[in-house]
Amino acid sequence: MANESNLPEAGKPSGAVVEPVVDPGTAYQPDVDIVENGDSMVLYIDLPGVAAGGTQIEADENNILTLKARNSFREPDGMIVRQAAIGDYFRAFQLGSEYDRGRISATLKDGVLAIHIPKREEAKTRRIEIRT
Amino acid sequence: MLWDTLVFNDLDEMRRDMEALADWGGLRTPVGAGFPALNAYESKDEYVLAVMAPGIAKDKLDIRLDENSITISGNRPLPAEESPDRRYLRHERGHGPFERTLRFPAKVNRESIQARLENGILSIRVPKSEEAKPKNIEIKA
Repeated sequence: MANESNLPEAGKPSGAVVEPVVDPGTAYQPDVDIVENGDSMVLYIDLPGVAAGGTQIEADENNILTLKARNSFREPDGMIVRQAAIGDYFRAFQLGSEYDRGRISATLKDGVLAIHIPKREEAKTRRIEIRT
Repeated sequence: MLWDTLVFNDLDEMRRDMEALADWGGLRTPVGAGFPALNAYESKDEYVLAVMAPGIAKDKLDIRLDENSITISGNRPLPAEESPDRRYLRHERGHGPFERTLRFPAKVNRESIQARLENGILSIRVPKSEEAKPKNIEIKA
């Protein structure tokens, strides 16, 4: 799923934005709930340990949504029980063509990333009222 | 493809659980109580628990410390209720009420426990009691 075109272009100044360096090969796959209504869909993704600014979300021309997240939780030494995968996260989603990649918004709160993806105007559910 | 990944995750988790119990018979957790997932760490002075609690507010978490055990309980609500207009296309995250109890293999100091919730991880530091800490024995010449 790694998409080369998502990487910053060589020679292009990246400005003050520090891109999270996440290796999709070793990153963990986070759990997701996807909720859809007639107008949009919301992806709720568990990213325990990821702080504000630690995520990178991209949607390319093929409507592939890619999430990379950098974990800032420092695990102590001396692990005796391991049930949770704490580390960097990577996941990619193929969006349907009815979704508008140009108007995606996202919020990160308490380790949960919510990505809001609206449908294109023409793809939204229309309610037809019945006239009496 | 997703199915394969999930199966491997489950197997891997099972193996890790078994290894954790085989390597170290101390911090026991009841079978099947896997939510929320947690990691535990031990140093000579303290135990540290890292409980995965993304999306859970501080006031929805409860920590109770008994003589030699700790109980973490709470509730994680669904992000949105299902309705005729709203449906789940995918549901992987755990939710609902939970309670987990862990027993410490050594005596702990209940007075100086510290808990902190940051970016969806609840970290609990539980110092060992003085008598449980390893002692260095000095060899006299």
